[in-house]
Amino acid sequence: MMNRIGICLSTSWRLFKVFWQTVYGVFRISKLQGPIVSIFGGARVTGEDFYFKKAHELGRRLTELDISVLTGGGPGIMEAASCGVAALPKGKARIMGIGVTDLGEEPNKCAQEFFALDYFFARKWLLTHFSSAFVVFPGGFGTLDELAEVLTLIQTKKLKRVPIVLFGMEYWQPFMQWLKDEALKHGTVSEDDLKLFTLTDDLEQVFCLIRDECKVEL
Amino acid sequence: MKWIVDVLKVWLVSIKSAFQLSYGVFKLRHLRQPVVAVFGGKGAYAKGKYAMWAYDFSAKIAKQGMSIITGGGPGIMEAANCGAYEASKKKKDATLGIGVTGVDKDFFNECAPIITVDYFFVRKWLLTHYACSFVIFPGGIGTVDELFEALNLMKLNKMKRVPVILVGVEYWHNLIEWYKQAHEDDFISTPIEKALVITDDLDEAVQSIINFRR
Repeated sequence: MMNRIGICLSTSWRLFKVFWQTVYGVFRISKLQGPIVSIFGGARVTGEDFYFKKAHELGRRLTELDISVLTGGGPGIMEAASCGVAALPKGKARIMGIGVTDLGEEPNKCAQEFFALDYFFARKWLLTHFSSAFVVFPGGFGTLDELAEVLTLIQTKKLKRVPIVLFGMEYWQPFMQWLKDEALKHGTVSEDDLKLFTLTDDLEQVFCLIRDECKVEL
Repeated sequence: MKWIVDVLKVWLVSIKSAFQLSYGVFKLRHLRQPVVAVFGGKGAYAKGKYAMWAYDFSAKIAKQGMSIITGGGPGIMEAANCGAYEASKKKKDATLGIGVTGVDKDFFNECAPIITVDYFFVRKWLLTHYACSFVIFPGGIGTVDELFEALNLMKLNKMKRVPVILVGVEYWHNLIEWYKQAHEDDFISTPIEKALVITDDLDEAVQSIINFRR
C-alpha cells in the first residue's frame, strides 16, 4: 500500500513539472503569428539530400505566405525547415522549435525561438494542438510516431480535421502499401481513414492544401 | 490576450489528466507484476485468427504468473483481456483495460475491469511506462502509433529497453519492408533485428519475454 502511494506521489510531482512546462510552452507558442503549420521529419538527413532542400524551400515559402512554422527543433529536416524560415527575417518570430532535454542533440542554429521540455508527450501535445496543417517529411521512429498520433487523434475526433501531407512518394510508398494491402483488407483501418492524408512529391500541392485550411489570400 | 485563454485551457487539461494518471498508476500497481502490454486493432476481428492468437497468448502469459494490460477496446484487446482473465486462478489482479472516453462508446469489455481516461497521451503513458514488454498484434493506425512511440522512447533512452514483439509476419510484412528501406536510407539507425522480435510462434514470444526477465 505504501509503495503504491509513493509511486502516485512521485508521478504527481512529475506531472506538476510537465504542467508548468506545458503552460510555459503555450505562452511561447501564442507569440507566433498567424496560422501555424507543423513540419515533422527525420533528424538524420543532411544538407545534400533532396528532402532537405525541399524542406528548406517549404519553410521559405510558408514565411512568404505569413504562416508560422512549428518543428521539433532538432537537426535534419527540422533544421532545414527552420533555416528556410529564418532566411527571410521579418521582425517577429515565425519559427519555433520544441525540443526534448537529454537527447544529446544540439538545437539547430536557425530556430529563432527554442525551448526544451522533459517529456515527449508534452512536446507532442504542443506540436499537435495548435497547428492548422501538418507536413510530414521522411523520417524514422519519431516521425512515424508523430504521424500516427495525429492520425489517431483525428480519426477518433479528438482533434479537428486538418490537412496532413506526406511528402516523399517513394519513401512512404511501402507504408501506404501496408495500409492498403493489409490493414484495409483486414478491416483495421477504414476507407475514410485513408482519406485523412495526402501523399505528394510536389510542393505546389502542399501549398494548395495548406491554403485551403489556413485561409490565406493570395 | 489570447494566450490567457489558451493557458487556462491547458490548466484544465493538466489537472484532469493528472488526476486520471495518478488513479491509473494506482490501479496498475494493483496488478500482478510483471505486466505485459498487448496492443492490437479493434477492427473486424471479433472471432478472427489473430484474436484467437491474442487469446491463447494471454492465457500463456497468465499461466506464467504475469498480467496483461490492453487498450480496453473490442477486438484483439478484448481477446487478450479474456485470455488472461479466464486462464488465471486469482482473477482480481489478472488484467486491466485502459480506454479513452468518447471514442465510439465502444470501450466495453466482458472480461476485464476498465478504467477510462480523457486523453490519448495519458493512456499511452500508462500503457507504455509500466510494462515489461510489448506485444503488438495486427492493428490499425493507433497500434502503429503505440509501436513507434515505444520504439522512439527506447531509442532515445527515455524509457528502459524491453522486448517489442511483433506478431503476424504476413500482416506486418509491408511495414517491415518500409522499415528496412528506411534503415538502408539512413532514416532509422537501429537495424530491425535489434529493435523488434518478429514471429508467428506464440511460444517463442512468451519465451523471449521470460528470457528477458532473467
